[in-house]
Order: sequence, then structure tokens, then C-alpha cells
Amino acid sequence: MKYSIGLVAILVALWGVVNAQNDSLKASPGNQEFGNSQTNAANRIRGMFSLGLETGYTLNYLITNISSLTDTEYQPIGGFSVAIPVAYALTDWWSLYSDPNLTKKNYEYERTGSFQGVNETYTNTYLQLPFMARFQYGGKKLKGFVNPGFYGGYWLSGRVKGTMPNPLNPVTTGSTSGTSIFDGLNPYSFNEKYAFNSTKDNRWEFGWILGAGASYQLNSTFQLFVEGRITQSLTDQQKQYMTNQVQRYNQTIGISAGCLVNLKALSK
Amino acid sequence: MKKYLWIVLVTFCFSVTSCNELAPKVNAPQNYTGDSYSDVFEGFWNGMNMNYVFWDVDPTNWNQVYSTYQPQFANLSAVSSANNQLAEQYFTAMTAALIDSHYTLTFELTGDMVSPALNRKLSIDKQYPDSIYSLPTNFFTSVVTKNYIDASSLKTGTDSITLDGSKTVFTILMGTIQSNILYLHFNYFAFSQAGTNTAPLLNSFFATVADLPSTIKGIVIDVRENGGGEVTDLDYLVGSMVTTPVTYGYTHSKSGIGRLDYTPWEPAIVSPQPGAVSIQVPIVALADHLSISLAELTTLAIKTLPNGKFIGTTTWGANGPLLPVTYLNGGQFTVGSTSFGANGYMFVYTSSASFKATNGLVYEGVGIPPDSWVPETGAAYDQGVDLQLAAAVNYINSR
Repeated sequence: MKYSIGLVAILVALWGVVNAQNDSLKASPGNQEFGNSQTNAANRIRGMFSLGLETGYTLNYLITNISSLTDTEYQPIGGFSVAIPVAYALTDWWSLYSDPNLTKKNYEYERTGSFQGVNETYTNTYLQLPFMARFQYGGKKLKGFVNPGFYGGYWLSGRVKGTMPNPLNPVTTGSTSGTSIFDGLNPYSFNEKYAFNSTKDNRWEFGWILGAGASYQLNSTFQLFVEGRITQSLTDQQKQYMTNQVQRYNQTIGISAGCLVNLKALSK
Repeated sequence: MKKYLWIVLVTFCFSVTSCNELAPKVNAPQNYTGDSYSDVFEGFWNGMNMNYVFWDVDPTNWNQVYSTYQPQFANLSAVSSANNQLAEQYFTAMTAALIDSHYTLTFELTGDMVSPALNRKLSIDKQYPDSIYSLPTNFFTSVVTKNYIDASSLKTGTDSITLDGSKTVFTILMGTIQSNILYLHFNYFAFSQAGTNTAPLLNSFFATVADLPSTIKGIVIDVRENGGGEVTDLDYLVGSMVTTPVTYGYTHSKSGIGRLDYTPWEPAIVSPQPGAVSIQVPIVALADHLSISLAELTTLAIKTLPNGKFIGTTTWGANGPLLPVTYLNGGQFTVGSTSFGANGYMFVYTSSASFKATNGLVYEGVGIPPDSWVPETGAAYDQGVDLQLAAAVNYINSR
């Protein structure tokens, strides 16, 4: 969580720097012509429809509380995302923005101390449909942007792999006087498809998104961009199936890069 | 507009810091103070959510239990003898239908114990008296030894062992039947504790298995009334008779604090032991309704072998292995140790993992059904006949 807040702060600061640079450019008398051409470009941007491709790295935190368990914690695990960004410019400084995506929301259940080596890594694939506003500001080519919005997602599939002590496969040879759990019980390693439990697993997910980044206009058709994003689920990963349930929320931070294509310019 | 947008976004960023508070903590059962009946109830009820391993198959509606009993415990305002008696009655009723057949509540204030499985068995016993009570104490000496074991081969021994912190008697009986069946009976799985009177017998049995005479046409492993014990013994025993690993079931345990948080199923495997041989003659497991825990798993492991057969009556139904709670994040736990010391208000003895057979069935609370159902009868005993052992001998001789 601390990392994600830090990332968001950095990205918002980056947006601020780009913003400030643009302000200083505009304040310079020698840049009057630049300002005019920017306004013209902005006019061209309105009503523009763009489509693209985006991919990136994700790091997912399972936000829950298992402090009552001994030597047990959840750790974030990396993954990737692939998206098809779609933008519709409404003015020169904001657009409607969406990027339907496949995102990995991975995490690890890990035991520590004398249980070191016991772990379960969950790799989960979500199909997500975000709805965002993209606010952008900056120079002719380099712009900073911020994408606040909301999303809905569906937990498509999962995989679990790891190692755990096998209670019915004890160590019967050699010394069993060690301090590790595996000195007494043989380890069992697994890597299998996650079997959804219809009573427990809530496969629908809704939450908010905040992204920030920078874009670079290569020419009238192509725009490159990088973005950092935090995706916070507001829905429990579990259905409400038990009293006193401790909720679990996916929190995914990611960094991605992509390209947007101005379809109108492309068609000319 | 853009200036205000900046302020809104920064506010939005800092507001997300509250996400951690969305997931409140539930205490471990031993961390409840236990200074009121409400607190003990909460500790127990939540402890069961976290530690009980059969929620995926147990028919008990635990949410309903909370709704029903939370107000009743809340009404037990003062700690008194009368209220304590009521509290024990409530706990007994709450757990009456739990399928875990190891499950036992021990109330530390009074020393009272409750075993739902035992209560259910006692209820059944009233209806089927022929296959319920313990075998007569002299059954193995007066019937099995006298009428079945070849006198020249008979070996018996007794040692004192410790199981679950209590001293108990470890007995082994071995020999041959009709000179062509190797027979072994023992009352607990405690091979590592075998002393001067029992270790030589085990050594003799395993030596015979390792170099099985051609005259031996079958082996009988008799775990009737065997109360279970050390898991390693299953490997020592069955693993001495196979040369390739044998999967006889699967276990899964808890991997979180939610009721349905489970690890994947992992195989329960008989591992061949050093010097093991592949036994081709029939191996018969004799087990009955008082064969419990590891005695049941051993029976199932033998039943899984291509040359294995289970003769007797349906076993007790306590298949889940038992380990300290920290090992698998589930199983036995204490409630209210803060106020009551290390033993707490109540100790809950329960399985650490759930077991299912290779056919996908969970036999917890049900018992493992025999391939050939043969009950003992009082009339047969009076005539010196062991119906189950006789059935095993007939089966082997018919192969």
C-alpha cells in the first residue's frame, strides 16, 4: 500500500512538472507563435477518436488481514497487462478514455520462520472494462495526463502453484530433529488450475482507477505514452458467505506503455 | 477549472490510504480474554471458522449457529456454576452434528469432555448391539490366539507407550494361521516407541515380509479396535510391502482465515521403505467400527492395493490427520488463554486436514466401508469363533 501511494504521488508530481513546464513556456514572449499553433492543434484534436495498444507490468496486493495466523503473510506478485486503449477527445485538455484490458492480479500466500518454503502463488487473470476521463496538459508534443475513473472486471481464470507440507507423507528416513517443517513432513509441490468455489469466490469486481503519465505526439497520427496506474477494488474477492468475514480486495499498481493512433488522421 | 482539478486529484490520492481499514482483524481464539461467556463464544465461533477443516463438506449451518447461540451466551451475564453448566450445554448442542470424528471439546474449568462422534455412536449402538461394543477384553487371547494362530508361531508382547501425553499399553500379537497366512495385530500405531517386548516382534514380522516364504499365501493386518497413532507407521507397515509409491487418498488444509480457504488437494502416499518388497499374495486388512484414525487410513491404503482387501465393519470415521495448529494453519486450538492460562477456557481437539479417498469421497463422520462386511456376534464369540478373521482366512484360501 505504501508503495502504491508513493507511486501515485510521483506520477501526480510528474504531471505537475509537465504542467509547470508548459506554464513557463507560455509565459515566455518568444513562445507566442508556439501557443497559437498549440491552440490550432487543440482545435484539430476535438472530436478525435483514437485507438491503440498498451502493455505493461502489474504488481498486485491482496488487501486483507490475516494477522491472527502464525508466521503467515500475503506478498504482492508481479504480472502483466494488455489493453486496447480508446480515447475520444472532447476538448483540447480532456477526453473520454477507456482501455479494455486483461490484467494479472497475482499474490502469494507465504509462511515464514520455521515454515519457510511453504507458499501458494495465485496468478489470476481479470478482464476489465474501465471508464475514465483523461485530463492532459502540456506542450505541443510532450503532455502530462491524469486518468481518474472507475472499472468493472471479471475474474476469468486462476492458477495456483506452490509448496506445502504433506501431512500424510512424513519424513521416515534420516534425522527429523531440524527446525523446519520439512524436517518432519515431506514437501508437496503443485501447479494447477484454480478451481473456483461458487459459494466463496466473487468473480465480479468493481472499483476505482487513478492513472497518471506522459504522452509524446510523434506526428499527427501516432502518440506514444507511458502511464502509472493504481487500480483499487471496492468489492470483496469473496461473496458474503460467512458471518464475521474478513474481506479481501485486490489493489493493483502498474506501469505501462502504449501507442494511440488517431483514426481520423490515419484515414486521410 | 484545471487548477481545481489538481486539488481534487491530490485529495483523491490521499483518500485511498483508508483501504487497509476495509479488512478488519479477527482475533485468534487464544487471544480472546475469555472473561465472559460472550467472549468465550466469540473466540470459539471464530476459531472454528479459521481452524475447522471440514466446512466444505460439513452440513452444519455455522452462520445459523451464530444467530442462535450468540444471544444465549450474551444472556449468561455472570460467571457462575449454573451458567457454566448452561454454557457447556450450549457448546455441546452447537457442535452435535459436526462430522469431524476426532472432534472433542474439553472444558478446563470442569474437566468435562464432549465428543459429538462418540455421542452419535452411542445412540446408534442402542439399535445395533451386535456390532457396537468393544470386543471382549480377552478376545485376542481367548479366541484369536487360542483358535486361529499356530501355537508354534505365536509371539506376543506388551510395552508401555505415551500417546497424546497419556501412558497406555502397546500390544502386538503375531504368528501364522494354518501355516500359510502371516498374521499381525497391534492396538496402536506406535512402532517408534516399541520397547524390549514388542520391538523384536515387529522386527520379526518385517523380516518375514522382506523374505516372504513361498508357503505364505496371504497376509492379515488386524487393526480392529486400533486407536491410531503415528503417521510414519503407515509408511513403515504398508511401505514395506510395495516397491512403488501408492496414492490412497488426498488431503487439504486451511490456507487462510475464511471458512472455505483451502490449499489444493495433495496426495496421501505410501512410500516404499528401504528394503521393501513387492508383495503379490493377498493382503487383508481386518478393521471394525472401533478402528480409528490412522487405523482407518492404513485400512484404506491396503484396500487400495491391487491385492488388498478390507474385511470387517465400517470404521469409526475419523480420517483427518492431526498436527499442531501452527503446522497447517488449522486444527486443534485453545479458547481464552488470556484469562485462563495455557489451557484456556476450552480446548478444541480437531483434525488439521481433511481427507478424501481416491474415489473422491470424504469418509469423515461416515467411516470407510469394507469390501466384505462381516460383523462379529456374541453367539460366535461364545463358540470361540472370530467371524471376521475366519472370513479373511477363507478369502485368502480361496485365491
